[in-house]
Amino acid sequence: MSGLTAEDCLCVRWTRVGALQRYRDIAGDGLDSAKVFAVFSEEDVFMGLVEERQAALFPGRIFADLLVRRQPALLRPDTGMEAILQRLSEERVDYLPVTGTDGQFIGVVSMLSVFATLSQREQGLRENREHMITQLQCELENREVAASVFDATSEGVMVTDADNHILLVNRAFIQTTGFSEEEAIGKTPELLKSGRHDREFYQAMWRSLEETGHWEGEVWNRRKSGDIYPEWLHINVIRDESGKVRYYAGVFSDITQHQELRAKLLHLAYYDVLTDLPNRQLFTDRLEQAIVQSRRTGKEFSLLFIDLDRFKDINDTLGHRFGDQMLIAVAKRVQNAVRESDTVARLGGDEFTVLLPDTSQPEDIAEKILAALSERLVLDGKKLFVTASIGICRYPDDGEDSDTLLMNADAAMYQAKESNRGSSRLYSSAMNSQLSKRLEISNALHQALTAGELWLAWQPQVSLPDGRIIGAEVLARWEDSTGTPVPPSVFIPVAEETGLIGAIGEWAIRTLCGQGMELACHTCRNFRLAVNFSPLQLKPGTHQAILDILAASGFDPRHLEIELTETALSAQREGMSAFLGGLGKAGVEVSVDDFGTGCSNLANLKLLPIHKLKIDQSFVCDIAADLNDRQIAAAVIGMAHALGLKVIAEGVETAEQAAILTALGCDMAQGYYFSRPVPFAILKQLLDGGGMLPASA
Amino acid sequence: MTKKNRRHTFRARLTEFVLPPIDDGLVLGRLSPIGHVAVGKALSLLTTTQFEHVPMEDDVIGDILVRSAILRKISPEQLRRFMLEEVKPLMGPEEIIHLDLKVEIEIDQEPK
Repeated sequence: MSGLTAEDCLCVRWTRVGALQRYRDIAGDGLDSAKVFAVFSEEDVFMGLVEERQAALFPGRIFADLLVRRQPALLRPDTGMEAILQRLSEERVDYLPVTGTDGQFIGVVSMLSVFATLSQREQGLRENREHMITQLQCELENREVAASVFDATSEGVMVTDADNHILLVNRAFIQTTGFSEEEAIGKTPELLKSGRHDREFYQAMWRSLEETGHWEGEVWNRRKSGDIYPEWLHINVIRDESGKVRYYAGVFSDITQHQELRAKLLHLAYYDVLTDLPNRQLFTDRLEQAIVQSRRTGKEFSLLFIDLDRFKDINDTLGHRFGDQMLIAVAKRVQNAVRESDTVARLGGDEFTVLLPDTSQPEDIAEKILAALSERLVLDGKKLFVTASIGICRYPDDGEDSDTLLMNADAAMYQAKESNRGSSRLYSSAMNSQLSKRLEISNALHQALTAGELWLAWQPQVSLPDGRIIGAEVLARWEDSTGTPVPPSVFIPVAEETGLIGAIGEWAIRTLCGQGMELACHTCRNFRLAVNFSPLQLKPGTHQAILDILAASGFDPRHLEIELTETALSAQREGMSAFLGGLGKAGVEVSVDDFGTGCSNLANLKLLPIHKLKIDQSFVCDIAADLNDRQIAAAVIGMAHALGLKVIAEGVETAEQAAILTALGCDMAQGYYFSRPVPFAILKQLLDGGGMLPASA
Repeated sequence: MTKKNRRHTFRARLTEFVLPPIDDGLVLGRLSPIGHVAVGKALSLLTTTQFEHVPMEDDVIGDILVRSAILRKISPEQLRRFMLEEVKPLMGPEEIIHLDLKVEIEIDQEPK
């Protein structure tokens, strides 16, 4: 009730009338709501109030005559509620006039208007209270939600007052920092200071907070345990309506794990997973740094390019797991052979590089590495010797950028491998021209395959007793776009290096089958077409690919013979066994090429599905003059026959050689004596002519 | 159809009109249809004689309007008492009474 005054409780149901007006003259003139009349003189001076019930009693009287004899004292607008009620009660009236200090009429208050105002005020208060309660409930709910979020969030939260004293921390803060709520509250965030950041760091932070109201960045803080950890911190300034700083709210995430993960990812990005040596990317980066430094200091540096010899054979024969172990062992040996300041990297596969920043004699380091690698290696109980070829180049003499240096070191390594495996070579500009030539051949070979520049030459194979053509070996030939023949000794190694050998091999078998079908009507039942097969062609599914080609062409698999070298047979015995077994089931026969020149492994002959041995031409060419060669040939023939295998001699150039081989019991032969490799058309002519070539007799 | 004849006769008595028709005053009943303000207003318009209002606190007599000259002879209180004792028993609260009041004053003065 306090605070309400007469001015607040003015009644709205009163009517202004003149002193000489009569009730009967104005009754019904919109007086429905009038309960009291305020009577004014002709001079517009307020004279008093007349209640309607009084006026209605004397409708003919003028209002001046209805005014009560003794008008109650006037109320002032600021008269309080209690005084009004007291006056109404004392005066025993229902209405009291309210006038200003100058006597000016302001309005009327009544018991009813007071109660109405009170009721209205109460209603307002009630509504306000209800609104406040609703608001409070919402706020409480929000606060509860906020509080639960505040506490449950995985990010640490710390709120300080304007003086930077900690007011509030959440659970994540406690968990991350190790400080309890009691230990943190009231302190400043210096509690967490690690000492890793200088004054400028904090000055920049405060400047940002003052200017933008926000700061974000990585901060190193200290836990209660003393551990220093990195966190990502956001700070926001919270100001009041006048713009004055009320709070600082800091939200942070412990990014230790992020850092560790980042370091791990960085390591993965820059280091080889297997050997933990720098990978190509990091090595290139260091190489470029070395170039920049060398340009500045004028000091030369060297680069070694190491490639293990016959690593693929080891991988293929002993498995990738063994190969990986070997690479790890090699990496350690190379690292141990160089200084800490040198960078050893694995570029991929069996290729390693070494950056030697301060070495005037890189050949010495290369020799040291070769010596370290040549020591016997024992892995999984297996003993083996590893050799490598090393190419050496120097900055700036052999290249001024990283790509050139790597390329030239590679060229030098290749040269070392070509000339003498297990050695090192310094780069010379001539090496590059050889490399360029190889690249040129590689590119041209790609084109040759699609442009039809390759063709098959057919060298007849004859039955020695009678000179009858009983088969032919197909040999890939290439005439480049200018019509110039490219020797197989040039393009086959390139094809093997570049992987094109697979496509060429497939092309050869496809062509053999297609043209072989044309020969079907000219040949005998045992006629066979032999094709060379490189172990590099051997991949999962290769035998099925060959069978598909056979099926598609209609060529009888029993007329196909695959020629493999001894080395190829040894290299991938498991894979080769499956490959040959698959083909053997279909009727394809296998012959061992160049027998006697490699590691003649008799076990292979027993275990693998082999049908024929081919005596290498090196034994044949001197067979007439050299007793040893003749005895070797005899031994091979005898052994093959003992194993149930046929024997064919290659490189037979004379009648005498043919006669000796016949005498030794050799089954078949091929060579210039009988026929050079000829185009398909010539072969057909030979077959059309009876298929007989000079026999030994 | 029968024809009827009508005859009208006028009779007049002429006297002097005297305004207002009030000699000494009026006594207004508490519930009279006109109040003292309205009567006073009318009197002031009809005559130059001055009248005074003497309010009454009574359940029958509401107001007295009396010639000012009379109040020079008696006080309002004497008039009120006289009204209550002599007039009130004769009137109702809704009536207005024409007052013809004679006031005689005897003066006895002893020689100094």
